Amino acid sequence: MSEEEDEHKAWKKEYSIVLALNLIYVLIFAYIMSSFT
Amino acid sequence: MGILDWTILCSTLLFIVVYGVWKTKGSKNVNDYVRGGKEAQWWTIGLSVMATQASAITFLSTPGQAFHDGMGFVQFYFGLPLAMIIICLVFVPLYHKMKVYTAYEFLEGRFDLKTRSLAAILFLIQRGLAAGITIFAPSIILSAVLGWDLRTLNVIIGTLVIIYTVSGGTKAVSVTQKQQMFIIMTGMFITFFFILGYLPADVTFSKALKIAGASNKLEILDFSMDTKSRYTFWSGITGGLFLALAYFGTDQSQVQRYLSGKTVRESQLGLVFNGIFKIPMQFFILLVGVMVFVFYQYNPSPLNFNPAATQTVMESEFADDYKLLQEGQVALEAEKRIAQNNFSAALEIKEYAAVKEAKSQIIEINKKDSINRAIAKTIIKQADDTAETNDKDYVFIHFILNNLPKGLIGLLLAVILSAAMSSTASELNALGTITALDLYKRNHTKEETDQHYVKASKWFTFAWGIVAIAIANVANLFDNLIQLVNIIGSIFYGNVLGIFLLAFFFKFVKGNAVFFAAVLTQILVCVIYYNLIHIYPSGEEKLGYLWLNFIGAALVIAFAFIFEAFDRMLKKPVVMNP
Repeated sequence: MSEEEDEHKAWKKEYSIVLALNLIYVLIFAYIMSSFT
Repeated sequence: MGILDWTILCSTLLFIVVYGVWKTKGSKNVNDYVRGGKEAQWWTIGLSVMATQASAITFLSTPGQAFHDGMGFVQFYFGLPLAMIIICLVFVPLYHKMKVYTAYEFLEGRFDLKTRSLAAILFLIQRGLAAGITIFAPSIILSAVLGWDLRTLNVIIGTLVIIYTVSGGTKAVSVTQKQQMFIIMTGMFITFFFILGYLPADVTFSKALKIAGASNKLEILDFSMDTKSRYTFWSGITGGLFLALAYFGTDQSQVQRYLSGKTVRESQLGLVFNGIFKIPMQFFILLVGVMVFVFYQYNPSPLNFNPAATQTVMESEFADDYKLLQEGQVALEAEKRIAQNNFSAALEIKEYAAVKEAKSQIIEINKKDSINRAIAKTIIKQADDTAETNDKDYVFIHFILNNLPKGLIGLLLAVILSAAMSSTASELNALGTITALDLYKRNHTKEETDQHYVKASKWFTFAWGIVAIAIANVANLFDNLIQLVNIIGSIFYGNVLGIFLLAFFFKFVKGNAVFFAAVLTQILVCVIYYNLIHIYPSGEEKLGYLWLNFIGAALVIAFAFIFEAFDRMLKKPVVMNP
């Protein structure tokens, strides 16, 4: 596998982490809303 | 403020300035001065990007926003992570590939010199004004609550920033922003735990959240499609994405932060860092504001947090009316404490009918509280039509000065001034760079040494610092200048973003078409602004000014397509029929 492909794969992982974490934040916000209001 | 507070405040600010100058002395060439030698690692870039965006107003206003309207404001940032990914994938690799020093230099490579110069000039107008307001906004609040002289405070903040920004350029801005972010987050965390400590013994963090929730302060997500609501999930995802793309992708004060990255990957990771931590940071600042709200459920609070507004009304013929209202508020606060205690006790024994009853009692009291505060604003306006009645910006500073222990007040003031300095430093750094490289160097015909342009960058940074202080000093002559600057930003941002989108995604569009489309768009946006916004009184405008961002981008893209098509048609050789 070329270096460029490796880097591309690593990047896919990092962008996925950003999206997944932000989705988790929204779920936490929804949990706080439903539990404390 | 005691001696301990002054010592902490002065030593923190002096440390930042001395450290910034000492750590970055002796920039030899333009690459060192403008791109920090391209040595920055991802965490430096991430912190620098966050510190640039977080101005003093973030830390003064945001807790006040949560205090009054709850935590829904966090939705404004929902488009930011997506924007970070798009910028990492499209903007950063192209900027690095073309080895640019400024965002607008890229436009010359893609289009031509006149498009570059136009974008640079639009940036200078908008950011030059904003730099003055970044200094003015915290100064006006601190001078109102502490009695400090407004102009002296403007000059002090401006001068401290000028010293290290002129001396060390981009690297000085980055290294000081790391210290500033450390001070800011330490100060905010300590304050948060102090607030929790000030709550009654039986009010745990979880119970404090329930108390806030009973008053609708934890309505974080709003999925409604109501366009009149300022902050909804959908407006955050769409409008927030659009604004973040324009700000982080095309504004030199941000672009310069990640252009200092060692490699493309370091720059991208810095932005990923921002995409991961921005929303939790804003959430935490809002949570501090919500805890301040819970604190004031058990402690007396003024009818209006702006001391200057209260003083105005107390010195007027309406003082008696205001005092009467204050007496009513004291009685209401006593009722509020009883209702909160009932709510707390009902939660303890898990008696849900009692919880429901106490909750409706709290809602009723909150309604009366809101009415009292609205009446207070009306009386203040009657006393002085020009008085600032919106006290959102004063809630947190009032809490700090009246409740935190000695020493911590000094640290929190250092937090606010550090935030003001970190944003101003990035702005002056970008303004100096754009003037030196996009305008002066590009139009200077004589061959000069690198040292000459470093010197020119320093002088231009210094000059913009003086301009920013001057704008801050005349800012209070205008009504609602902060909003005016946001409007001016919206007038230009859409157009500039449109130019960059054309550069990235529409390869067939060439320089001439873009330049004339941008000039025409700018004129049209100004006409739209005048006819639909400017001539109407505040609140009755025919168009929200944030829409100008979208209109500007859409118009420049559409016009560029049309002009390009015309250009091609005119250039097409005429084939004669035999």
